[in-house]
Amino acid sequence: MATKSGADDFTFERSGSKYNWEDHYKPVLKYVFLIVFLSWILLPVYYTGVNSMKGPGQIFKTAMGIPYLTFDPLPFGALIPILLGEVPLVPAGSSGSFTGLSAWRTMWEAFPFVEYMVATTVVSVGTAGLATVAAVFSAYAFARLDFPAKTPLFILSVMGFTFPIVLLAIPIFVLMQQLSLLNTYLGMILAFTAFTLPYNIWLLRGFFEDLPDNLEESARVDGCTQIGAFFRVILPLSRPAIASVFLLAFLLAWHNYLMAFILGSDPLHTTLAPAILQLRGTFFVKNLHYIMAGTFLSMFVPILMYMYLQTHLVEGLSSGGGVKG
Amino acid sequence: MSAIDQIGRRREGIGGIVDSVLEEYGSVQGLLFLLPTLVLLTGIVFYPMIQNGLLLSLRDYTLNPAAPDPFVGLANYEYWFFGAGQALFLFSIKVTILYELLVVPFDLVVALGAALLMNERFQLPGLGIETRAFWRGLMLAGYASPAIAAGLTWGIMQQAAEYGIVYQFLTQFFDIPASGGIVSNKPWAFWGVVIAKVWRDFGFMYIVFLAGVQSIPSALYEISKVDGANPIQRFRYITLPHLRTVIVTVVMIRTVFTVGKLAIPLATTQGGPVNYTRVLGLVIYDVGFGEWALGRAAALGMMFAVSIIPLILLWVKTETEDY
Repeated sequence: MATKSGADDFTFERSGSKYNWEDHYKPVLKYVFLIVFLSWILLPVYYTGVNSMKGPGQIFKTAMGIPYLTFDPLPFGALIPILLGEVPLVPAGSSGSFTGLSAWRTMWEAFPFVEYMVATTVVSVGTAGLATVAAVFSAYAFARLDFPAKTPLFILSVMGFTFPIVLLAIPIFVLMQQLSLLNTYLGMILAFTAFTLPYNIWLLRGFFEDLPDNLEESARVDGCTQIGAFFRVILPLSRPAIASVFLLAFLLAWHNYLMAFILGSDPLHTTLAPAILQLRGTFFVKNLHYIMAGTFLSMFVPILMYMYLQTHLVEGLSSGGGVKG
Repeated sequence: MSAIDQIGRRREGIGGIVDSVLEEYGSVQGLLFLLPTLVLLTGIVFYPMIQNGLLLSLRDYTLNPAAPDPFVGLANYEYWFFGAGQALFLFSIKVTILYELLVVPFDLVVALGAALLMNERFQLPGLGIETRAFWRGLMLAGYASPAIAAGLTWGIMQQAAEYGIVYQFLTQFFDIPASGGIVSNKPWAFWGVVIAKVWRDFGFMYIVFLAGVQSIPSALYEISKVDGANPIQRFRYITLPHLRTVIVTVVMIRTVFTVGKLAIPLATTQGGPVNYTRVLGLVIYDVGFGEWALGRAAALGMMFAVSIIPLILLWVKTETEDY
């Protein structure tokens, strides 16, 4: 609380009591709300992370507890290989104890997590690239050019995004079967583009519309052609927006379950999301820590990307506004 | 049409020819920019939707891609309306509508609360370091994780077992049967799915609302505070009116985007107990890729598509009306 000084001269005495209540409790209340909110939001992340390092017995005993050692104290040096998961499981007779990162290691090696990761990354990068390149041109056209049948074409282009993916799934599955593109990266990239491209068009159109109107005109006056103005002025200005749209498309592809499931019946050509669901069938409840490890690993990367993206998105959007102001 | 410059005078020579070409070319230019998108979307959305969606729904799909699929007319539609699929069809429509009616308002309330909370300052006491950006990022943890992983984790946490911590917590307050826990008992399974879905999805609305809340000038709050408005009045008369258009748009988007989603119910309850959480999207998925009756699934999908087109058009209208 500020001391009684010059700044407080503006306070209205008559209504003082009413606001003091609020000023008094608000700092406490907002932290209470923050803790309640975050404990709900971080609960699954914490739960999967913590339980992936416990043996089944310990999960059954305290699912929320921090992993702890139940066997005789070891010299510190002996802990390191357990932590790193090099020693596969803890000593005999203590199946219920701390397992370090061995479940992660099992995921990585036995359940072919590496292959899934590679497949997911290839497909996501391919999808994001294709969708972003196509979207940059068409979003520019929708935002800043005039041509016949603009609104119907826009509705048609964005429809693919608003359409539930499950409705596209059957037609695309049959199409890919006819083209014999099932179980290929190309087929998956094309199928994922069906819903990421409209999304990118929608986002980028909004961004291009916010750029000042006279950008192309001044470029034209300086001797650029219309297309030259697009490549030399508009594209460099919108680099941050394009980057964030690329990342969003990447994550959309990363998260998608349905398309990846129907197009990749071969386990090595499917992405992470269907693989995670397979975990439930592959490992019984007895091996819950494997399921937890796989789930945690699949959540970890996108969460980090989003936390990075959050600042990046703000940058991208504010630089568009910065030009305007 | 020939080239006329701004003064209204025809330009002569080479410049005039270039201008006239550009002008002729001008309206086509937009279409040229659109070309890659149109080619892609025609290939992977429009053509298959007509060829494999509409026409397949009139056929009986055979698993052998070489063999022709026999034409059965409207039999697939009849199956859903009057045949053996009628009960499931009607029930899953009910489930889908109820799911929408629960998920979207909950999303709205949670996201609005989160956005208002994250608009506050969170300075570390004594140090004066602003930690708000970090909490803002953490709020997106749900939205960032894959829906399948979210559903799977919530499903495990809702089982009636020692590790089912959500069950253990809720059973203190509610009488949830111990056999099956939340995920396989009737009224509870639905709530279990809704919790997982809201956890996964509220982040989108939260981002939009956060931007909206930030754009409200803080002077308004200060003035109203001086005039004696309490926090509820300030929310009612300043925050809500400012966010009204945003709320309408976002609720519409969420309604459209929730309608066909199936990953959360699939991973949390697998549609159970019996069909209690089997939303329409999940029915299409099960019939199509579980029973491999792609013709029937396509018929259901076509009806679904037609019924949500008004919703989509409404959304596109709000998107495009101010231009």
